[in-house]
Amino acid sequence: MSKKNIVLKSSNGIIFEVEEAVALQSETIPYMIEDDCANDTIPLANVTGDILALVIEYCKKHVVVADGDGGGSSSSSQEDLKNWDAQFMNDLDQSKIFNLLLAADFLNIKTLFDLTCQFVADTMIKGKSVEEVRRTLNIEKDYTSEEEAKARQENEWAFK
Amino acid sequence: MSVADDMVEDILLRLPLKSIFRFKTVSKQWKATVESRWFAERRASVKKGRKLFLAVGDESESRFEGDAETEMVYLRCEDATRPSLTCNGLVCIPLPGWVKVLNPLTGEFLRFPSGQEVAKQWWHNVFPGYWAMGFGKDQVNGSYKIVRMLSDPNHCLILDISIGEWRELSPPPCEIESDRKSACVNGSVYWLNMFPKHKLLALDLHTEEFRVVSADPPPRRRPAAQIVNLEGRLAIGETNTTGEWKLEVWCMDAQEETWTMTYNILLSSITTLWCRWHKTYFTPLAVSEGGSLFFTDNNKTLFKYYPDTDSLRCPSPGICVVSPLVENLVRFTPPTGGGYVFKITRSGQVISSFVRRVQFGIPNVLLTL
Repeated sequence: MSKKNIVLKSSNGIIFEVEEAVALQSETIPYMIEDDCANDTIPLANVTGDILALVIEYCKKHVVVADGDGGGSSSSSQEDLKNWDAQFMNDLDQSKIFNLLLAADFLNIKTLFDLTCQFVADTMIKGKSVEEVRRTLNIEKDYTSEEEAKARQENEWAFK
Repeated sequence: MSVADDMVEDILLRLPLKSIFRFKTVSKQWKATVESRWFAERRASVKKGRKLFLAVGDESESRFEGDAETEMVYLRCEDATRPSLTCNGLVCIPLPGWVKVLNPLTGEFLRFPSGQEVAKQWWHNVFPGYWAMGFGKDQVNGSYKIVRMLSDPNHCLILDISIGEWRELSPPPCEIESDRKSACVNGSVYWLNMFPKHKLLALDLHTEEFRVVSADPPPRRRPAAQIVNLEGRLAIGETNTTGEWKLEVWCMDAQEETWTMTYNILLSSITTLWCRWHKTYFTPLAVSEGGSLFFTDNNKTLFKYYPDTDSLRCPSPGICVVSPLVENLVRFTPPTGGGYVFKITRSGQVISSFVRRVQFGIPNVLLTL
């Protein structure tokens, strides 16, 4: 029996056909299927083709493990998956990472969202200076110089 | 390219504590995010595998052999050696004439006058004035409350720390012993009474009504039995010093119906640490992800028991561990009934991955105790 496929369409019109189990790691897609009441393509207005390709790559990798050997994944496959995740994130540039974060949030794929958040926290924020973080995340400084000095003084121990 | 505010929160949640404090200076928005109650609650669930303990002393003089799941927060503050109660990362320290509620991580504290004591004398294991004390969180509206009772049960007072005024409370159905600490679990404060009847008394911090718990505490009754919140469950640690030297830990189920023995540690067979063991009793503090039990002896030395190998380790000789701690970054607001938020000035703090020293100088006002 052939597996049921789901067709996803990115915001820039690129079509992806994936197995249902792959797509259903997103908690948003089932609602879209219900709402549309059709087997037609599911339009994802917030996700571009290159990012959707990444999301699908991630979901394909993770669906295999969840499926394998009676559902229980061995510790070695867990370890492999962890390494794969690390490599997957490492290969992305900053703009892709932020877009992936938005897509994981929109599509509600919890493990991908957790992975991306942790990666951003570890590589773009932790250990960086306040100025670097503002620049990376494009955050406007809303402190006056005096306020900033005071806030810094209050948390002085965390700068050592 | 920027990240939406709600995603910023998700990212900040995953940072180490020190980074969170540092990045309060990024923007007012970030500061407000990490100081919110919501953030603190989410953070506790994200970081739940880690065990945090509040210790008294100087980290540089101690030899804490940390592991990946244990962290110490050091408090260099005289008050910390006094008997205290802990709930959700806040420490309630009754002092003669005052009750202080301290957040060791933010350094902030509130203090409330508690009037004259009947007895001025102070022992290290009794609260000032022989009060029976309770401290905990009202699960319904999230406020923290302090309860104090004199041995005359008709004098019972409660204070909501966001308001700061003592109110009379309908007295409990039985007398409460003042020489045993209470524990707060799931919105109720519990007191264990040995005499005249072996009973467990509870006060619901929201309805502010007392009740006697229907499940009788475990059958044996030893004066050294300690009642604690062990990983969100009410537990009793009983040290048997008269026959076989052992520590039993009993946990009560959430419906307050049954007690189950969760640890039975035969101390005499695994350690020769205490020569005066008939005077040593233990208080359970926490359980690790792997099922190891952390407990302290009556000198507040920390021990970790590994049930798999039936072995015991003392990771921190010379460090006084006061209580388990959860990370709570919520800032205090001044009590609406009047009063201030105090902040202990800090100096020379060092944070490492395993051992964190939060060194506090004590404001002069507190040295006049």
